[in-house]
Amino acid sequence: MPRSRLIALVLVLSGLAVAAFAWHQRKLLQISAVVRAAVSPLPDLAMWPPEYAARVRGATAAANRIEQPLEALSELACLYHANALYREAQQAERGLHALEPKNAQWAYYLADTCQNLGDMEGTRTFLEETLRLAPHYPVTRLKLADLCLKQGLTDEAIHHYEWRLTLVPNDPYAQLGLARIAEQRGNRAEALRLFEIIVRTSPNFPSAHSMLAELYAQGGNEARAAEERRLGSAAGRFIEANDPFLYRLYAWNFDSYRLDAQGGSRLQVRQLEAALPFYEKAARLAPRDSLACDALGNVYLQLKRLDDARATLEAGLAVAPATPSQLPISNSCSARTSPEPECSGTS
Amino acid sequence: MAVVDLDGDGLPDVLVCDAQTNQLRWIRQYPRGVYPESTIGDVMAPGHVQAYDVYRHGRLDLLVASMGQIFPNNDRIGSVIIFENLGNGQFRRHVVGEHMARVADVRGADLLGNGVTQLVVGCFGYDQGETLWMENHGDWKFEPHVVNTQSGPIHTPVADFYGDGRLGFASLISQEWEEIHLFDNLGGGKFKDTIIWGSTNEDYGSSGLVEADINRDGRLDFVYTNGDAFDYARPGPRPWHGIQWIENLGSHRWAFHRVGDFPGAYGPSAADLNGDGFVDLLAVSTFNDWSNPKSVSMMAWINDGHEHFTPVPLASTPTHLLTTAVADMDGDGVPEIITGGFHAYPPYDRMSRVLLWKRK
Repeated sequence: MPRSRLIALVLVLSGLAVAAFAWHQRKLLQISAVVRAAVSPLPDLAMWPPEYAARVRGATAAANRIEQPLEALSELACLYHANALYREAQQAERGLHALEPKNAQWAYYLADTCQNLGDMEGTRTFLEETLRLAPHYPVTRLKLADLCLKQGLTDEAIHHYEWRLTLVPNDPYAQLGLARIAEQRGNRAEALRLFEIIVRTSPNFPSAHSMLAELYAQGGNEARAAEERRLGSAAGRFIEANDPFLYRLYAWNFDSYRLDAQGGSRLQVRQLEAALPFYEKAARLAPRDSLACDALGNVYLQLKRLDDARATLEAGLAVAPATPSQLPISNSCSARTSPEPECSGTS
Repeated sequence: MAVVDLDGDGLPDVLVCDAQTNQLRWIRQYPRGVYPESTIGDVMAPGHVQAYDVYRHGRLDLLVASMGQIFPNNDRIGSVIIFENLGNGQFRRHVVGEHMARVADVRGADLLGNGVTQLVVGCFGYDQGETLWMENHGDWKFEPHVVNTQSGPIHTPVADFYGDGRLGFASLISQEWEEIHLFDNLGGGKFKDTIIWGSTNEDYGSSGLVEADINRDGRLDFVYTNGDAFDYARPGPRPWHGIQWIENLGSHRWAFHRVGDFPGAYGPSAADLNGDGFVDLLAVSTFNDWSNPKSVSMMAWINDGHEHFTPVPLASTPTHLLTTAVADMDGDGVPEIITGGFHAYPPYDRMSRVLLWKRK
């Protein structure tokens, strides 16, 4: 190859490399600018567990550096969202949605923050965006349906509930919505039919039992009403539909109220093993919180882990000796974990 | 709690549902500025009182919602009680409904347009509950008609919301529903149930609903608080707690306006608090973070006349306030605020029962 051509080739390649580097740097700067705008000022972290405060500070600092700002902003969004700091979460999620517009998770989280801030229009906008990005994520349809129902848009609500049923056949949440609309429209027979289907296909769904009880009572069938009331109460409290996007946030949860609530909703439906990690984390984060010890000790007790229950309840008593509820339970654990006395006589 | 001139002496009195003594109490103002208190009658866990002349005999009777028990319970232990006003401070007790889901509200209204008082009742219950109206068959006999089968009704304000000359009623339904329903009066005892607003946050914590014409357009709007945390393991504030104005746009249309955040918000009232002719909003907090001495327990939102509201903290102590009323108690043309406290969980260091607040 003639020397002149070689020089030209080297120059072209060098130019391309410089251009690529410049493009990359420019892109990084653009990303960095969006990320910086998405990072809110640090909230007051004085009342939070030290581990949480450290992670928020770390993610905030990392998001303001030029390397891997997306990862840092993502961490920050999850830390805020999972712990109900919704205004800060929303700011971060808006940035993430702008940088990753095809990622349905950010649109969905934005819908959730809007919902928790009482912004129903925003909720609807971002749920529709999620639906466009991830049309088969089933809970989006349900949330849109519920939102329409609560805004009085019953025809739209029916459309979304029916879609939800194609994605999750026999889904009690969608059937509950359709039954409520039927009842609202005065179609008592249809409502009754749908509630009866729900209690047959999803016997642990409390709301359907409760509303069916009311319909039976109105129809004068007190015996069946009483039975449905009993079944409704036995089924525990209403829990929200399965939502993997939101479940991902549990790993970032440091808020004892939310840990209690998440553990509690599983306890209500007797999912003791599933409830346990929430209570364990709450007690780990707040070892001097007698309520957290009390709650965890009670879960251990129900799981028949009596040594753990006793140790946890005694730890709670050490923090707050006057707590009345722990003492008899702790004593009962002690009694039940003591060696059985040997039998010395004969029968 | 309700403010009303019960004995017709020209001085407003205060009626108090006292869930600690399980009594309906009368704080009678007589003479002006003096407030002796007496018992009207026993009511298990009274939740709401309204003064209403049921049989048009010229005296205000007292309609009382009896929950049976304030804290969560699914048993049918609620009742509707009317204290018939016999005059001279004497009352006769009539239990007009019993074995009901816990009753949180009862209002009197001529729903049929025939001059006869019917009742609107919110049965909170727990797992089960309902909203119903009770048809008056005379001689203190009432027959229930259920219009909605969702548990958790808290307040059931009655008014002619659509200006058609017929009284309808609303039901603020909490529990997992978090909805405001309006029951449009179709005549002949028929009501059309419409959801005018609802939150998809099943933990929204609906806590109070009152009707008022906020923007002076001749249509009654709603002021709505959400801040309830009664059945949480850890009662306390949540970031979505606050106050909102549900605007009546006419033609059966409503618009939701978030007015402001207020952790633990309860007991909304609407009144011109600063005398500028515009309707301001007021609420108290039952579930704020009381470990922080700066947490606000009473807040006003001052209306600039264009329904832009400026929050004004009014008090941080006492804590755990549950209910409000606004009235010109001393007749000087300046409204006073009356609050009721509910101290069901700690701390127990800044407590109150019924307070009269005068403007400085």
